[in-house]
Amino acid sequence: MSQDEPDVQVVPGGQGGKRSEGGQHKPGGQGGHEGDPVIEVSGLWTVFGDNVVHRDLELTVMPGEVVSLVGGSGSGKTTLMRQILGLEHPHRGSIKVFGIPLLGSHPLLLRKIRRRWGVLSQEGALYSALPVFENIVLPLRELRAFDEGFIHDMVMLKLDMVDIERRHAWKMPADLSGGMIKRIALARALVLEPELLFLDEPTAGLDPDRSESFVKLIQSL
Amino acid sequence: MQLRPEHDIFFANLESAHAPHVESRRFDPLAPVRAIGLVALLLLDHLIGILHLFGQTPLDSLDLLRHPSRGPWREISASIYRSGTEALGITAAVGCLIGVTLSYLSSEQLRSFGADTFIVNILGLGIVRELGPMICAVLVAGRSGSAITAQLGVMRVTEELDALPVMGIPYTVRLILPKVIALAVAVPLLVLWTSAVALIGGAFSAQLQLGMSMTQFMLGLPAAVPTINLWLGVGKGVVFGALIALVACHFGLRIQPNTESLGAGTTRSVVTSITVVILADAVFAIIYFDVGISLT
Repeated sequence: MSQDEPDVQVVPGGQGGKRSEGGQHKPGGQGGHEGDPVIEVSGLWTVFGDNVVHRDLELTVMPGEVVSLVGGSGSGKTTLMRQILGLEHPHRGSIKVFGIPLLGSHPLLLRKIRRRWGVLSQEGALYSALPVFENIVLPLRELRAFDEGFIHDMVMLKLDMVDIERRHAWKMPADLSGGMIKRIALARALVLEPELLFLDEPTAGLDPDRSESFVKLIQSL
Repeated sequence: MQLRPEHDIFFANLESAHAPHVESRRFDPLAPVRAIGLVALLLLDHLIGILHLFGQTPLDSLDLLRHPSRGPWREISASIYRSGTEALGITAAVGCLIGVTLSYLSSEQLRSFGADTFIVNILGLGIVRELGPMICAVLVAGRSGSAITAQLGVMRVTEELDALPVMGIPYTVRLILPKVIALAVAVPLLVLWTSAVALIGGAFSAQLQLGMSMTQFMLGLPAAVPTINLWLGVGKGVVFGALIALVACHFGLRIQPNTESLGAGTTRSVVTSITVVILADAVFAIIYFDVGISLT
């Protein structure tokens, strides 16, 4: 992949930079030991027709590292992220997250892994039929482990964290600006206190001021 | 006409350029076989996709029974309202008109044979057993089936569909199961409603055409139409509803992130749903051909 503009960021509890140390990695749950790579991609091949997008790709992300994938359009940044997230399968190679191989693992195990990461997609991917509060609360409700009071406080805390006023909690995504949608999507990605954070083109579509403030927000996490 | 020197060069180049060589398409005797094979593979691919959803639904339902508190009850309730309650008007209107038409056409023929009273048998059996479920299924496929496909398709385009599994939430539980359950509940109820309205419309026409009172028509119904036909109609409603939802979800999940795919997928979904419903109806007719038919 060519060096162009930063598009996909992988943040295992860390802070800014193309590949930098920092932040706190909290190993926990299945398959995670301190010092082990959080993401391990080896011998990855992705082919679309005659176009080889990933050729024997190797990538290791250690705890506390912040990694930015940069490259031109069509160089396979988002595809790589989708493969690490298990949304697409590579033609060859293996991907391990928290030490667990994504291919061939039991769906229940994969579901547990997925609850340990947060993802901010390019468009935010908020559910247009649900208000902001319900969007953020979605992963929390799925766990069924918290009472409504805690859930409410948690959502408000995350809204404060991403600098969104609480009065917007009951607005529909269609009533919000692009920048606000990204922030709310980030709040949803952070609501389960993830050990690993994926950001796909986090500043795409934002004006320079909003883009800068969004980068600062991510750095402050 | 005078040309500038730079334009002169352009036209000189154009003159000396060779005509593009268009390769003539060679006759391929295997092309039809290849085309049939591709269509067969596409059909197989769709069949596998629908079977996958068909198999996943009972598994998700079992999970729902094991953990009822985790169930997508709000989604189910909302889907029942959208596909059932909101469809009451259109199904009643179409059902009533079908009843009136059928009654008018039949009564003329029956009168010529002096068999006026058989209008109850024709309308009762035809509507309760066949037309009620079929009208409902076609309307629901066009109305709710297309809406389901379009909804899932838009969710695919806006990445909402990918966001669920990424958060560790299986989309079959949150999106597919509620729609299958909702249609399996709403369609049989709509079948009862449509059949009732169609019978009222038919009885009203029979009164106008044959002079048979509404009371006489309604009193004659239980004898002409054994109750098993009602259950058969309701059972068809359950099966048709679940099939429409599965087909609609299958096509919705296959929408590509572009508007053309959304339109084509929605059309394919409705056409396939109606075809599948007619196929299922034929299977019902073969299996239950000697059940509930009485000529008294």
